[in-house]
Amino acid sequence: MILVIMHKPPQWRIARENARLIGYRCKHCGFVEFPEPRKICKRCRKPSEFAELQMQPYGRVISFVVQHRLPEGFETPLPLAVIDLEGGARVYGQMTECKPDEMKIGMSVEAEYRIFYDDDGLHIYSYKFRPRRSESM
Amino acid sequence: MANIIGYGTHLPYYRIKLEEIAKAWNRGGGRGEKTIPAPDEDVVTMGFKAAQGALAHAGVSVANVGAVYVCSLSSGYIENSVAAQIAYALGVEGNVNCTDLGLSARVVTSALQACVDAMAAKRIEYGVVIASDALTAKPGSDAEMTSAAGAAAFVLGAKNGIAEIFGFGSHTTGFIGRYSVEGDSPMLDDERFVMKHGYLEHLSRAAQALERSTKISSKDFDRVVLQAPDPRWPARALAKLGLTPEKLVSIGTQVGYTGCASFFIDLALALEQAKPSEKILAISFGPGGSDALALIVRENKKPIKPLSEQMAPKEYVSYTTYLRYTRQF
Repeated sequence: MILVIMHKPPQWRIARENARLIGYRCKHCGFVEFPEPRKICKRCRKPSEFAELQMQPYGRVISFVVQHRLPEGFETPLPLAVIDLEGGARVYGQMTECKPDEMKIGMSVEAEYRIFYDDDGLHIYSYKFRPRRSESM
Repeated sequence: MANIIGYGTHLPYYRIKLEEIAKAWNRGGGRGEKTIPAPDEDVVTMGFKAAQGALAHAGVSVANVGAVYVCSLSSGYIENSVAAQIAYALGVEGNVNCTDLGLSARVVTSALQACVDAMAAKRIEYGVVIASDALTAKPGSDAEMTSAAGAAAFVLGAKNGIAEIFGFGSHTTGFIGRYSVEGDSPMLDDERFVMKHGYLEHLSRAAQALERSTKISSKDFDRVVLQAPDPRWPARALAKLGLTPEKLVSIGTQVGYTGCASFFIDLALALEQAKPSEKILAISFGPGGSDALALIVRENKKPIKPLSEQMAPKEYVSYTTYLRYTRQF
């Protein structure tokens, strides 16, 4: 979903966080790191302790761009969005099942567990976002 | 026996009208529509979504789940456990029995029975039974008009819940009917023969076996779910079973044939509609035979995402987009 480098070691190291939307909240300033816990908080720059946080799969679009030219394997045009998740994390992710003209700042989205890419026939999964089309969970 | 304490379903957002397919191939039979998986959906993502909804509906902590069963005809893998992948994403891991079933759409009832047995033996407290399929068929083939995608899941437990499973009956033969060879479209040589000697015969014999074990006549059930590789077949089977058409619960003509998931999606729909104390007769069918299942409804508890809400948000795609999304070229 966010800042995931596409080769195996990081994928496996953060498999649990990535599959279950688990973030880490800085005990000093409350900033949420996702998906990889760090030693030093990105916001307060303090060597910090982090508490595990089960994130909610709902959020709002803060900003977005629409990618028109991408390598094979991506559906284009593809909206990419910065999203504030309920509960505190700001993430950058791919949209899915969404046309560029549907994108609006402030729109409500839900996280969906999807195929992120195909590694020699093996599907690697992560979260993408789609417009929230019904009010039920 | 055991209780269904939660259920969940997942239908893809994309649809194609069958008239689009019929038009492309200059053929008849273009009434209804079917679901298409998004390019980034497969049996893992759809099964996960359905199971997540079912666990939330049941209010069961993943730490108490002792078994996960996944039924699918279309995982695409020869070696790889879909059940373990879905279980891990759900947070179910460690001392957990994990089973992948396939090769016949009928395995959905085998999985339910295995889960009920594991609970009766007190090996597990709660079990999750998932069916997920994204069926494909070669462009221009007969099966292309029905092959669709979807998933549904049930959480079973000993405590009182939405419905009690109180009987099983089976009819197993060597009859194949429809089959698929790896990488090829499903084959069904003589539809009328398979209907008469396969489908109707197996369904009614399984129903008779259930009648013998439960001492309840098929006519006394209030709702009926019948699995079939063609969504038009169940309506034709009702008379043979001595049942009236209004008892049939099916969204096959709006969704298509979703393999293993078709049985669970229709059963979930029956539970969404049923009132307490109603009885449901559900009969699976796939290569090798049929299993019949008897349920009595205890409570009508609205699921997390009802099927009625999933039917409405949808986008129709053209035939070429459909081919691209299902990786047909």
